Amino acid sequence: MTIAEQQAPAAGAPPSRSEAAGRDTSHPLVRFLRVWGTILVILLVAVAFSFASPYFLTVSNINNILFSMFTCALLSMGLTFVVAAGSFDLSIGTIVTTSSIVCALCIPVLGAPAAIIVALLVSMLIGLANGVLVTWFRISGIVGTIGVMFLLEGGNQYLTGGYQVAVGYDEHFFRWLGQGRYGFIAVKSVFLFVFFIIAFIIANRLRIGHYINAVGDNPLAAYYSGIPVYRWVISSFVLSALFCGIAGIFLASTSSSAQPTGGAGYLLEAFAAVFLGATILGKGKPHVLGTLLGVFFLYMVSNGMTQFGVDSSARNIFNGFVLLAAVGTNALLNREELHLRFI
Amino acid sequence: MDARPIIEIRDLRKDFSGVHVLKGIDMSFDRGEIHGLLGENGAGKSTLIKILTCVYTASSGEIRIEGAPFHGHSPKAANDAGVGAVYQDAELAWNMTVAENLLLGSERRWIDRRAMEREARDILSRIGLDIDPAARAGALTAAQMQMLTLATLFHRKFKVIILDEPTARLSGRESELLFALIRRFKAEGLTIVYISHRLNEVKLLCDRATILRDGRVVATLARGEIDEAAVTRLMVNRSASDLEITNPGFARPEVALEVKALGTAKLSPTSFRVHRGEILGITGPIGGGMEQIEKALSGLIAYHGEIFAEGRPVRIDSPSDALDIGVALIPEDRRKQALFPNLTMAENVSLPILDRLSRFGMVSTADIMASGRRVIERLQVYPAAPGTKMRYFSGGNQQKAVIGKWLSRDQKIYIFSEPTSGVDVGAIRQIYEIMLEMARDGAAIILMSTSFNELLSLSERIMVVHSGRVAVERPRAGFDRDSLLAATLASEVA
Repeated sequence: MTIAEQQAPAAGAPPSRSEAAGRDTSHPLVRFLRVWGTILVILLVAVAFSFASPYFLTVSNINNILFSMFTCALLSMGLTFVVAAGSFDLSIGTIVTTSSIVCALCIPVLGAPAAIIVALLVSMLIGLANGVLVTWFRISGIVGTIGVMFLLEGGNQYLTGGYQVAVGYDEHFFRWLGQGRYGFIAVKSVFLFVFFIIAFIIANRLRIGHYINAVGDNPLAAYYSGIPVYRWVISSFVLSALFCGIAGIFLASTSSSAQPTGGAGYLLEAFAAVFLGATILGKGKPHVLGTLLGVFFLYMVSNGMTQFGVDSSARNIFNGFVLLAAVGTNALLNREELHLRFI
Repeated sequence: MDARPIIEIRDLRKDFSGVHVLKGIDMSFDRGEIHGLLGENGAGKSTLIKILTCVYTASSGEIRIEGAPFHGHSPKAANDAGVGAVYQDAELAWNMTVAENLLLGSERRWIDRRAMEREARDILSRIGLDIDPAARAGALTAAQMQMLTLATLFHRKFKVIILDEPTARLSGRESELLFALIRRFKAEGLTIVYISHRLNEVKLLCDRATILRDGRVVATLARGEIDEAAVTRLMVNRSASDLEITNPGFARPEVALEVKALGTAKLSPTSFRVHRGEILGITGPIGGGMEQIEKALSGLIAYHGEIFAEGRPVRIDSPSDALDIGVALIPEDRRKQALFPNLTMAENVSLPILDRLSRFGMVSTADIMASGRRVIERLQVYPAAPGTKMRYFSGGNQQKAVIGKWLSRDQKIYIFSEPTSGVDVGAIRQIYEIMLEMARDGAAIILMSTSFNELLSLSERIMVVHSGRVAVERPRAGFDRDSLLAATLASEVA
């Protein structure tokens, strides 16, 4: 506070100066680390890898990373909306599977474009069910979406009989989505960029993303502002499921088939990415760009370590450590007075 | 301008399970006026406000807003009719910016942060508030949060804004800023209902003031008529001034708790002592500093100064420190801060003594039930069902359970904060008797209360805390209702 600010104005004077409005009083280094810390770690690891292997920083390898992270990235971006709205979605992995199975089953009957649309509609319907369960039916996000996850797993088993569903080799358009490439660049990597832009606009430029953030931040304030809280919570689940549906279609396209448990492994990676992403740029809450960088980090580490033949156990230990360190230091840097929430 | 009142209230009544809280209120609020609402605790102010904001429904009577009958059933209905309240705890989206909070609900289709900040800056400068629209709401000061909430209601075209003790958490200078903002709203034609215990604020600000007593309107004073003597005379409820219970004096010579130069960020160094068997009453306006004493002694906030328990110097840095030196807090919001609603009554009262009940690390259900039954017998808890979940008990019996919880641990010093708020009328007398009995058995009791009846009935000494310091401290005999009320209302600020 400057000396000028300390001198109180004459009583009754109109309000003139705000008192240290929203000013951060912590040490500049702490402030810098809060914003840039996670990005700094990502860059340091990338630099270390590129020194260790000349191949690491080539267009071809970057494309490899983007290609492999596609499914996880879409799931995570969708999940970002649900977590921003203040809930959890544990059914995302199985929605990917369901979408790919529905798509693969419909292609011979309806043709690829119609099959894609059906798969997306089914996914959104599942998201709608999730949203209605956690709002109107008052079930917690964790429990409600676990229930839906089990229902979908059973459905997936039933639809496939436990075997993969193959997509015909003559489906050129459909296979182009997941397998096409121009030079070093895969079509899928370009699509990843497109979907990121779409998610970013939804989150930052449209009312839907704005209201999802507001509802997640303080539902009571949102309610008193006349915002239909339930509508936006449901919307976040529909968005999440839609992104999973897209991921499922590309998964089926990439492997020319739908696996009965194809998406199950991505769930925990997605959560890790969202919470790692929340520390990026010091936002302290999930945001789409942070999530994308979080996924990129996880897959970059995996890619780099594979090149050096590092055992996958070491890779998991490293990922776990980075997640805990990033989220932990962030929590310590943004100290609340009393911490009594353990979910 | 339309000369009709914006809100008219006719013969408004409210009873809670047979207890009449509002006994026929007739009053009106004019357009563009600042209208003070005064009354002792329990006079019906907050019930009236909650009916206006549709938190409660009236038992009978009529409310007209701009001439049209109004029947709302949710806070949102009140908002839609243009009536809103600002409480001490503002509701904002803490991680969003000032601009985003201000415009929440009225965004354009395409979110443009810079345009929103520009629009917010226009609104803020029009009403004369200098808050950075890009600042995070959670990083504002308490005063700024309140003013932002006010600005939000203004932006949403509210016609009537109710302020409940708005200066409780503000410094003198911040209050000045708030008053300027309130006057500007008045100039824009808004109606402000101003509830406060600080008479000088009401005198300074309000065009009219209505005084409630015992569920009725006793008078509406014009600005010139508002003075301490008149307000005190009108506020004090003569019919209830014969106290049913008085403290005959159980104080013993031993000092249980001594506090030397105890200070916090909002409390100037304060010294006092409480003897065993003594009940020390502490009162004052909300936010005037009395809750700071309560929080410091129960380990909830940082303090400086010295505390001695039975002559030994002690530090109280956390609630468990307070427990160890024998301090028990019986908080006002007992449902949130003292009870476990889904555990049984017996489990609740035996929680602080589980270490004594356990044998080889195991606690038997029979022992827990037995300790529950002991509390039930001693404090006459009704229903006498130790196995019933706490949330099914009435307010008065919940309060007895909180007391019982600490009694079974034999704490030495009890801090009661508003012990009879939310307690059914019938149980109030029982709670008083329990407290006097505790004092007779040698417990030192600090009673934080804004009910004069309660203070005069129970205390041996009374301390009035005002503007962050002790304004008056006298033996009970040195006070009657008028002098106590006058000491609480008087304030040397401004």
